Amino acid sequence: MRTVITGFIFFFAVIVAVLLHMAALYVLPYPFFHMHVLFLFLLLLLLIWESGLVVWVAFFSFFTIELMSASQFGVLLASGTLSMLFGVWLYRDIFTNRSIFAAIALTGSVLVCFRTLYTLLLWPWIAIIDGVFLPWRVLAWPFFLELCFTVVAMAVCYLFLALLFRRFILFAPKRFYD
Amino acid sequence: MRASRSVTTLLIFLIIGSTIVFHWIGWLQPVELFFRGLIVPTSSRMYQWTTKAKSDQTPFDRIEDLHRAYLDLEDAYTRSLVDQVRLRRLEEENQALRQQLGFIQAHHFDALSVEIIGKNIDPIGSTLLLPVGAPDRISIGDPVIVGDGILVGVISQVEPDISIVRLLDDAQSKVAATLYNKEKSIGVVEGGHGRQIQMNFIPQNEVVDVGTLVVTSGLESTLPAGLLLGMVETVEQEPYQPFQQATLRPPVVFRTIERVSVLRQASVISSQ
Repeated sequence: MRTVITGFIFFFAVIVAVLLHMAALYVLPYPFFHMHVLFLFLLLLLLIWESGLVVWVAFFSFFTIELMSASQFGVLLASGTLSMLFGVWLYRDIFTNRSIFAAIALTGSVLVCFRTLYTLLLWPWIAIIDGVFLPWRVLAWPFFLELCFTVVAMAVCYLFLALLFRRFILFAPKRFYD
Repeated sequence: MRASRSVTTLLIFLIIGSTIVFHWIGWLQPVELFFRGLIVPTSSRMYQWTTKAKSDQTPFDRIEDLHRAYLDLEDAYTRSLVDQVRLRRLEEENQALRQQLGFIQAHHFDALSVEIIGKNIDPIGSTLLLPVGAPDRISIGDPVIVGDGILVGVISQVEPDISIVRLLDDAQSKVAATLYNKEKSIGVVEGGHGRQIQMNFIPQNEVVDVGTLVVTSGLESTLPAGLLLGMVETVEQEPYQPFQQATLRPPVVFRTIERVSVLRQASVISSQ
């Protein structure tokens, strides 16, 4: 029974993640639509669940998104899933003080990892197969906007979480650093 | 701990790799159809709702802006009346020339009109989703137009149930184009510049004026000549550069398109 419920929640999380990502892209005006809602959702899920299952939610969400993307199949899937795996490790081993700064740093690191992998995978593909050489500034500005808006959105969401749940603290206690 | 992580990483790499391979082989098609079937109807409804909401919006914050826009519109209307007269004269002339040449009809395009069901899913791309695919004889490279021959993009991916259009403002979009200037300058129209598109590789010695129309050159086998791409808004000319470039304003706002026509390949090639 528990497996069925977990499976249902998992499936529901994937669908919600994809629909939220699409809704944000459709509704938000420029430049706000650059915010990566899917990663925001997945990282919030990681903060709430604290489970590695988020990597599989990421895998299926990126798989669904990949089906409607113009980029070569596998680019988003591989970069998205591996970045989320990296995020889970960071959350468990590096950003462990569970404060707003940890959440912001985690978001920034995961997005940088995602876009680095994405570019590394996309660039050879389009250069060799399509014969298109993308200048770095064409990608750099949208990536920068994406990073800024997603980090700010994460900070706002974390503030709400801190207001709603006692588990989320804004600042780690001083003794944590001692 | 480290061993367990290596196993997890290996497992994830293996699953991603197999997914990509199975996708290319086609074994994942039932799963892909299932996931698309879940997402596409919602995407379609959301897209229709947002385009309708956007087209209902008035872009004016102050009454002065509205007044200025009204005056501009009045001016544009007067100009369009003059253009209409000129166009009618040109049409008559054109008709006479066609009769002389023995043409019965200019084009025999096999066009398929479709409603858009979604748009780009990646914030850095600029694409549209169409509910037609390979069974509808859609193929990669098919031009996608709106209105009376305004090119908005090209089909970049075809699946059994959907097709993806790469719009002109996408960073990976490239279209061979001709300027309607005296020299009929040719160049390449490229995306990746926000909402605008840019025409590059225009020879330095040719005259490019603001307001000049830009159309497809027909140098690509998949694109017919004469499809409207936009109007020159600014021209950048550096004396030390071999080419000049022009920023174009597309005649349509890509974000608010609701219906497009796909010109199927066979008809495009036969028309050239």
